[in-house]
Amino acid sequence: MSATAYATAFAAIFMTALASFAAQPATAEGGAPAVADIVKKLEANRIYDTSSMDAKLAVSNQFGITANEFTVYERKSGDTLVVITSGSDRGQKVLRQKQNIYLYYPEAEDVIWLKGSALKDSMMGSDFSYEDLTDDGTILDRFDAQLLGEDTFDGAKCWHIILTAKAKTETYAKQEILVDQTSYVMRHALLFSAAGKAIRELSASDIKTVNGKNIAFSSVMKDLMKKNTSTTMTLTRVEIGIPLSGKYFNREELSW
Amino acid sequence: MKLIHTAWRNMWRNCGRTILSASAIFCSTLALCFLLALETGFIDDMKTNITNHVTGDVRIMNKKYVENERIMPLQFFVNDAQKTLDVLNKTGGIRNATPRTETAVSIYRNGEQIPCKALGIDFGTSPIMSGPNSHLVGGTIPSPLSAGVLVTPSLAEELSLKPGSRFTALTRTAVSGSNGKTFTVTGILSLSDSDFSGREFFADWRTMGEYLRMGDNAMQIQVFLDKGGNLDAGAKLARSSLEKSIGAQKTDELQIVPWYGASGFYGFVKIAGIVFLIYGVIFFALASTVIFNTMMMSVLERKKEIGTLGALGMGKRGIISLFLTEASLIALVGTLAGLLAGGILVALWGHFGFDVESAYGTDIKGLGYSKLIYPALTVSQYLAILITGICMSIAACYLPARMASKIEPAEALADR
Repeated sequence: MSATAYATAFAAIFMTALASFAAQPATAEGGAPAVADIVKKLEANRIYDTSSMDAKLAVSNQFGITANEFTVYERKSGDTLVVITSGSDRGQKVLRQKQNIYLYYPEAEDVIWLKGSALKDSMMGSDFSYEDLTDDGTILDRFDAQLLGEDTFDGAKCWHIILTAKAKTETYAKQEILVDQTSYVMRHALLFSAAGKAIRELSASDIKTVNGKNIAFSSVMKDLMKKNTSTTMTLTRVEIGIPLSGKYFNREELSW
Repeated sequence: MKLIHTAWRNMWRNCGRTILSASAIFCSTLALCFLLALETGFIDDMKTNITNHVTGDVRIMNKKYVENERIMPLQFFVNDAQKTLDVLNKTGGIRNATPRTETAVSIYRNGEQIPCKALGIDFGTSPIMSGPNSHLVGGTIPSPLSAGVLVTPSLAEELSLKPGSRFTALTRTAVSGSNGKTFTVTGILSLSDSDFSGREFFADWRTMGEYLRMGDNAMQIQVFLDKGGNLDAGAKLARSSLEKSIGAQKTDELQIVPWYGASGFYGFVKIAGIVFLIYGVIFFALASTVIFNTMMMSVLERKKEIGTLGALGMGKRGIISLFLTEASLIALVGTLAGLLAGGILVALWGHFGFDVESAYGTDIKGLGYSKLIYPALTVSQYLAILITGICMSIAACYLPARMASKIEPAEALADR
């Protein structure tokens, strides 16, 4: 249900996991808004009925930079389809339906169903996992939020929030995020494993408004478990509220 | 000559003791023959498997791949593989150059991913197909550029595959992405090499190149030299030949090394050699204790005789020589008998083979051994055993012989 997540930077997807504290009337000191209100505004920038986006993914590591382009289709029901549109992997598709991910390869007869730990595998060799790039879970139901105070990121004043997963099954047990006080876009996130180790870091920039939604057009994800690696995702086209055919989200029809 | 004659006669004055000493040497020699033959069989087998199935006599790989091998950077393959192969195959002194690409894949089966090893080879030139331990036990060889594959019997059994079956395999690619492809089984290939007795399949190298997004290239090239060719010279020959054809700069990107420089196995061979040398010394040392004891007893029993010899003018050196000659003759008899028996048994063993899998089960998988090892000994090894046996016996007898030489004639003759 969060197409915006991609915009906010696929990264924002993690953020998807962000705000579930709705039920928690937390209030910051010094007259700050309730944390639930902040996250609701954050979510409002990430939730659309339908969306379609084009993006470039540049994976940088010690051996150089590898670039890929892809298109994302998303609808509010939680279905997401990623179609790789350039390079040698062109034509490959990744479909997310709730907790299931299906991979379509043009030369394979089978549609590959990913489950369990495979969801955490790198997608397109990037620092993003399949789950990161397709996650659309309901944040408010999944995380407890706590407002720590204010901070700045890249010169912008932000709310400093900690999200703690309610369920052990979440990929990130804890997220430490900075939400822009003006645009209500997540600008930075530090993502922690269940063991309390920071495993990924996301930062977002180039915020633009599309159909009244604030979206970060550039995001950088770093897998902190790897050395000298980072992935930059740049959105090149964002369309919100457009009609999308159901075939995009049907795993029986991934060969279209 | 007279000394040898006397020593030989003395030897049989106490048959029981001589037979005991010779038997000890015989048993040590026999045991050493078995150990060395087994070691030689294992090492020859591993070397054959490694060169035929992995490196070739000389291995050519991208330097950057080798430097980062731990993370399998598939993007560092051998560029212009076909041209490189053509050049090498036209070079005098090189018998065969063949491409090889190996990668880890997952076979997708009923929602599960089964780890597997995939190899891209040239079915027409790879020793994997033509080696002494390779047998196509069913089906046919895939045609070039097709999606056909050969699978190992073990993989075929585990996944119920037979010629005509299809399966989908997933892999990481050279462009850092992933890929999935459905392959068709055309046949079943049995290799005695325990490294290929699990989940492995073999595809055409160009098909594998496309699958891994490497294009018409290979991860490595195995170079086989003419029989008896010097490995270091072969590596230099391959390099100079490539420098002339594809240029010094491109050639410099490649690591071209003899098989022993490309495989940790060579270190193992050296260690194994030392270990078996130690075993040999221990065996003969144990046998030498028997000789030492019997010779000591002989000296004590023959004290008067030694005294008489001394009184008749035989010097200390002569007495030492007499006893050492006796020891040498006993050692020679024992060692030769051991070598004869060992040679016959090793020959039989080498003919029928040693079933490693029956002896050690499937624990040998990944060690590079074949399921059946053929123990063997070379002439130089037989000679080494003979010389070691005699030398150890002489060394063991030196002390008793020296003791004998110190016996004073008057004292010995007066001794009751």
